[in-house]
This record gives sequence, C-alpha cells and structure tokens, in this order.
Amino acid sequence: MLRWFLIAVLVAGFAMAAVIAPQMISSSNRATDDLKFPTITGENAGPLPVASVDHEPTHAFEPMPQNAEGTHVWKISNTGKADLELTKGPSTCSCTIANFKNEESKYVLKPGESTEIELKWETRSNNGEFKKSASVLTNDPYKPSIDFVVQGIVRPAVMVLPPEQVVNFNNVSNDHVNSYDLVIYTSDFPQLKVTKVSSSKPEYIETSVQPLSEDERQKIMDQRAQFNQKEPIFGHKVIVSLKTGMPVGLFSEEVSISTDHPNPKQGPLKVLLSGKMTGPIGCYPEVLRMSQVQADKGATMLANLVVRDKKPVKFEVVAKPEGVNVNIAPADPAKGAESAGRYRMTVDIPAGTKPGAIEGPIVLKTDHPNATEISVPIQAIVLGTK
Amino acid sequence: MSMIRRRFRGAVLIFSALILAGCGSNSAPPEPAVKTSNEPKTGRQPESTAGVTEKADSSKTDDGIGANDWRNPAAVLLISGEQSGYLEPCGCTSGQLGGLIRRYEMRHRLTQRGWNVVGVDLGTLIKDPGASLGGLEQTKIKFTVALRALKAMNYDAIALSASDLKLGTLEVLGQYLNLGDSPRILGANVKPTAGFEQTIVPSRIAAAGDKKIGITAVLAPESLEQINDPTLPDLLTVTSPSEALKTVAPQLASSSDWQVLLVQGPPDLATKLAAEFPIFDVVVASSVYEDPKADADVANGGKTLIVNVGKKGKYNGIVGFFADPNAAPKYQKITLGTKFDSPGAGEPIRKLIDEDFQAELKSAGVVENFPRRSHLSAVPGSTFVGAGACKQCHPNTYAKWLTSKHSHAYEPLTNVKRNREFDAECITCHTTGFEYESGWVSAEKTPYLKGNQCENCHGPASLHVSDPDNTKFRKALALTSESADKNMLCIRCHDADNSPKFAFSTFWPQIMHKGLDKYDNPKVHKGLDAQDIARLQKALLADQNPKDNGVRKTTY
Repeated sequence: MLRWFLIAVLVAGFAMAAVIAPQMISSSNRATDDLKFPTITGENAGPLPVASVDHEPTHAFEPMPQNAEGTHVWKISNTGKADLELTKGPSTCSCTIANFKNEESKYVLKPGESTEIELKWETRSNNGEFKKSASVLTNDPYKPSIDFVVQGIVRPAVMVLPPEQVVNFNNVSNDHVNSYDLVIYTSDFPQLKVTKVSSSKPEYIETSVQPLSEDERQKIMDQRAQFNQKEPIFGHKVIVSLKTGMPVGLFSEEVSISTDHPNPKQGPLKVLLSGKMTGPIGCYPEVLRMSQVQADKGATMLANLVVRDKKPVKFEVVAKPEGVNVNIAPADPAKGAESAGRYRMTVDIPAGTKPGAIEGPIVLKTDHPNATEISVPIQAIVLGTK
Repeated sequence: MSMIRRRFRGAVLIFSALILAGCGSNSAPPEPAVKTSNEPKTGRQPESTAGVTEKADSSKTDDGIGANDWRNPAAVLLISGEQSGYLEPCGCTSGQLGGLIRRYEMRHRLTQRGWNVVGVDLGTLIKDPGASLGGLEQTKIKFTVALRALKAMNYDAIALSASDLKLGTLEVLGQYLNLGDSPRILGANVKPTAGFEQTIVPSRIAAAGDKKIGITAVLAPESLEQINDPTLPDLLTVTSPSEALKTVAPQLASSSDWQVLLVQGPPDLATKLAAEFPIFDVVVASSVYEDPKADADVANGGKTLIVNVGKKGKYNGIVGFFADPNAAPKYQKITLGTKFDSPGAGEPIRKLIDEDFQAELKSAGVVENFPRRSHLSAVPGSTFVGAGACKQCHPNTYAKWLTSKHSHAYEPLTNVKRNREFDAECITCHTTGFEYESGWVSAEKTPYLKGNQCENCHGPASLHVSDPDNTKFRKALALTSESADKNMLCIRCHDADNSPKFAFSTFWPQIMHKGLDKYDNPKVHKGLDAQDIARLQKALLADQNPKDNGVRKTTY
C-alpha cells in the first residue's frame, strides 16, 4: 500500500513539474525579458484552463500582390475549468487580440469564454515565398505557447523572369553577341504592353520586345503550376543583347522596363545585367589567394588555364613574385582531345620562405595570337613560426 | 502494477516533451505548432520520444546546444546549408541570427562535450553574384572565405550547388582545386570533364571516432537551367540523381555505419529520394522558408530523418547517432543566436572575416574598381556633387538631412574593430552614388559623398546646381514621395535584413522635407561654379563632423 502511495506522490510530482518547468525554461529563453509569462498558482493547479483554437493555426493564403495587407482570424476558447490567461508572445508581424490593450497586458478568458486572435501582415515589396508568425503564451500547461502562422506567395502586379531581376552573364567573350530573353508578364491584365525599355549603356546594349509565343506562355504556366499558381499569364519577351566589342572587364548595367499595367503601385521594372567580358585565355581562380601560409611548411596553389578555342598554347613565365615557383603543364594529357586547351598551373611557396606578404602578378607570355600576355594576380601572406 | 508503470512512463513523456518544447523558445520566430509530416511515427522513433528512456545530463544545459537527453552519441552530424553569402548574422541591425563565428563556437561546444562531430553543408554558400550588392569580385572573394571557414571548422563534405556555380563554373572548380583533402565537394550525379576529376567526387566516408558516416550528394539537373554559363556543359555532365544513387547508395551502405544524402534541388526531390533509397538515415533537403521547423520530418517508418536548416545560415541542425542499433538517430535544431556570443568565441573565424576578408577586399580594390553604370533617370552628363552643393539653395532641407541618420551613415563603417570601408555590400547603402559613374569611389577620392545623401534618391545633380532654373534639369531631379514609394527607392537599403521594421508610411515622415525652403533670394537662381562646389563639398565634411558636437544652423 505504501508503495502505491509513493508512486502516486511521484506521479503528482511529475505532473506539477510538467506544469511549471516548461514555463520556467521557456521564460528564460524568450526574446524579450519584458514579457510576463503566466504563472500557475496553487489555486488553479487543480482545475486547469484549456486553450482551444477553432482551426489549424497555420493559415496558407492565396497568392497576394505586393503592397497589400492581409488578415486572418482565429477563435480561441477556454474549454477548461480555470481562467485562461493569454499573453502576446514573440511575433514577426502585427498581431492583434481582441481586448489586448498593449504588449504587456494579459487577457483573461473565463471558462467557456472565447476571443479572437487576428494576424495582420503587409506584403510590402516582398517577392516570392512569404511567412509571418506570432505566438500567444497561455497558462494552459499543455499548450504554453500557440504559434499562429500565415504563409503563401507574394508577387508583384507585373513579374519578371528571372524573378531575381538579375541576369548574370558570367564570363563572356566579346567576340560575339551575347543575348538573354527576359520575360515580363502578369496574370490580371491580358492586354499588357511594354511601353518603354531603356538601358544604362545603349551603345552596347540592344533591346527588342516580342509577344510570348503560345508555347513559351504554356511553359511558364506549367512551371508556375508546380508552385500551385494555376491562373493564366500574359506577357512579352524583352530580348537583351550585349553587342560585340563591349569593353573587356567587369560590367554591371541596368535595363528599365515600363508597362501599361494599371496598378498605381507598379513602377518601372529594373533588371541588372552583370558579368565579365573576357579574352581568349582565362585563369581560374582569377586571383590566387592564400592568407595564412606557414613559413616552415610552405604551400601550393593550383589554377586552371583555359583556352577558349581549345587550341594548344605554349606558356612562358616572364615575371613572378620573388621566391615563388610556377609550373604549367597540360591538365590531363592522357585524355587527349577531351582536355584540349586546359592547363594546370601549380604555384609553390616553398618551405622556408621569408614571412611577409607575397603580392604581385604572375605574368605569362603565350603564342596565342589574340592573347600574347596573361597576368594572374597572387596575394598570399606568409606567417612566421611561433 | 504494470498499469501504474505505464502511467508513470506517460508522466515522464509529458514532462520531457514539455521541457523540449520550452527549450525551443528563443528569439527566433515561433515554429508552426502542427507538424507537417503525415508520416506515421511507428517503428524507430526519432526526436524527443526516443530519448525519454535516457537520463538527461543537466551539466550540458547551459552551452546553448540543447540535446541534453542525448547520452553518449557515437557520432554527431552537424548540418548547415544555404548560407547564401551571410558570413555574418543576416543584416546590420542588432538581434539578427546566424553567422560563421557563432557556428564555429557552436561546433567547438559540441566537441567540448566529447562528441565526434562530422560536418556537412548543403552548399549555396554564396548568393547569386549578379544579385549580390557586393558584385562579382566581392562574391568570388567571399566564396573563398566561406570555403576557408568550412575548412577551419573541419567540415567533411559540401554538396555541389547550382547557386554556387553561378559564380562561374571555371572559377568555382578553380577554387575547389585548392581545398585539399577536406572538405570534399560531393555530386554523385555530376561528372567533371577531364582535368577536373578530383574537384567533385560522388561520396566520401567520414570517420567519427571508431564509426563511419557515408555521405553523398545529388544535384537536381534542372537547377542548372538557371545558370547562364556557356562553359558549363563542357565542364560538367549531370545525370539522373536516382540512377547515380543506385550505384553510390549500396557502396555507402557496405562501408559505413550510417548514411547521409544531401539533396541540392527542390524539397520534393529529397522526399522522393528518401522514399526511393531507404538506406539513408538522414536526407538533407533544401528549405522553402528562411526559418526551418523545429523537428525533422520522418520517412520510411521512422528510419530516415529528412532535415532542412533554413536559409541564410541562421540555424544549424545536429543528428546524433548511437551505438545501440535499436536507438534511432535524434535531431536537434540549433538557433545561432546570442547564446553563442562570448568573449573570444570563434576567434579564428572572426579573424578570417574581420581581418583577412576585409584586407582582401581592400587589396583587390573591390569598391574602387566596382563596375559603374550611367544613372538611368539622370540627364546625360550630370554627375554627383554631394549634399554640400545642395545646401547653397536648400539650407533648411539640408539642415533637416543633417539631423537624420542618413547624414551619418558612413560612420559605422569606420569602426576600428569592424572596419567595412572596403566592403562593397556595406558601402552601397552607406555612401552616395555607389555603382554609378561619378559616384562614391573611396574616402580619399570622394569624401563629399559619405553617408546617404540627397542624390541617392534624386539622382546626380551637377547640371542642376550649375543651372538651377533649367526646367529640364530640375524635372530630372524632382521626386514625390509617391514615386519614391512606387519605385521602391528606400527598399533597396531598407530591406528585410537590414531594416526589418521598415514601412514607408512610418519612416517617410521622419525625413519628410517638402516645402522647407523658399527661393525668393536671387542668389539661389545664380548657379554654382566648380570653385563654389569644391568649397561647399569641404564645408559638408565639417557639417557632418561638427567639433561642437551639434548641428550647425545653416544660413546663406
């Protein structure tokens, strides 16, 4: 009998701990210290409050436009036998609870009573996946926190492909035209027209506008359908071409596209074009960097020399930082034609190199008619032995 | 008797579950309360329920890791991914999560527990260089730094990702060449061309004490469609992930104790492959949302954990593997918040980011050599002159600007301990006209463009200040609050990372400056010459740094 009594006491002890412990732990970890987590007192340790929410706390909304506001309401009821205390917890959006006067205030639901929890969110300039959440802390020991979540897709009135509104041309050669097809489309204005396209470098950037073909339109709709966006779309292609002869080096240009979409919040769409115009031989990585070479151990850096037209090239090292050894050999001669035009450059910083910075280019002379000299920057720091 | 035992076990279960629920509460946004997995939790149970029979070790409760009920895991898999260029906590406002310094510290604390840690990363170390505010050159350096950081943290494997390849396939393969033996870049369904074979391998076996973890990764072939790199098809051949795993998965199963698959592709692909290859204990999937769920999903009757760790490096995950063949692996999400900040924490990574990275940006001249373009809304020929020149005719507007944080935006970049004057990602929002011809170059060459000045919204103004009554020049600079909002001028810097509470309707009134000046003085219609502009540019610096520590009243 005593054993039964001890077991009962243990069970009761654990039940109490289950009520109090999570609140202590949760309280210590909360984002802000000014929140007052409800405490369980001896009075209501017997009859307990029960927080019941009328439907799923995660609400998936239909795709929304930018600069719009959404709301969703849940009903929370006290189906228990003690007072249910509600406190506003951490949130990533505006959360209003009926009768909540301020952030710190506590709202009490008597048994049988209910109130509304309303989440408001603003889509602002978000584009794509969107998720906001807010939590309500309660003194229901089995639901110390109820997390209300709203999630879905936010999209502008007029959309662009690629959605990042950036075209990364990467390393491109200026001996031919490099083009990219942007797509400008909408789902709510079938007669959409592109009214103006301008670029920051009109002497080297050409643009033209074409309506989307039925196949192209269908392909985009099929892709969107995978993300549960099934409405028809209407739009145009804006073909952006970088003309031949564009100067070698990094570029970061901009194209601005205006449409006649009636949404007053819809401004011109700006698409960034970036990349690097290169010559016929490239070194990758373009810069050899090594920040912590131990003087007593030395180090080796590797790079690939790539000849775009895949013709064999002879390299000669004509300049290099002092104390550095450079060797160039075909990358994989056994593979024959498959590895044509690819060379491996090995740069050795020998053990015993004097501590300090190694900075400067490795200059290579080649017999390629359009790239007689290549410069590969090297930046290394050699550390002394401790 | 047996009934009482069951009841007792039930109380323990509630107790443990509530403790775990409480541990999950932190500064991060709350998680959905309802699990999304429909998988019945039968068989081997992952997560908290599997741990209730083990005694919690209270000595581990204060290191910020959690997982206090893990008793002597034989191996611990540290999972990260989709860092997207966030070497530091996302954004420059306080209270943000993530950062490699904290991750280093977190990993250090895992090893301090005596655990054998194997690190894997899902890839996407950097953001698309085209979309990055730092531009292509900075992103290349950042990629190098990210790889170095993972090496310093003894990572074993990184999945090849389409996002990283946007840096340029040749550049990426070139950087991989210098990784050495660890970490290895994995791509079971990716075959590099001749001369690059050693840069990407199908799998690797990582040692964790006397146990072995077999790791492989796949890349969704369609994810390469988003890469605009003409060299890619010559350099990499990508095949079906399923076909590749048919060969790799059995090899891993026969040579390791636990098997891990990293899936670079849509989350659905991870779910599909987990079902198709039930030998995997852990499948790491990409994330749809920045903030991941607290729990892993489960597949194959509880055999497989499907894990995602969110985006921007704000969270990591750890999976504990246990020597007991009947003990299921356990998962714990770790939020990289301030609990991992402590004096000296993550020092090697702090040095890498605050010193080496910044020195390399400076040495490469990323800011000075940033590719510049014409300003699309400017009258051709107009250049940036600085707010000093505006002061001459708009003194009250200028005075209002001087009281705003915009006028002092450069100062935080000059912090001695965290100097960011050569970091293009910071410079772009803390100076004027950066990215445009005649805009910010450096503190030496363009000191009159420090801070966020008038011309960042209105455009370059040289033609207007020299001929103020020219209506064409005035019109090019004119801007209403409505068009500023519509063109999302503020959002470029006041974005979700750096200004999470930004709303045009509440922020605009703080800097509103319409109608503050009158133009009845004949002087304001005269225009400025080069000497006037130079004098006013110099005066601007004095106004931004008044020795009397107050804002000077401007008169003319």
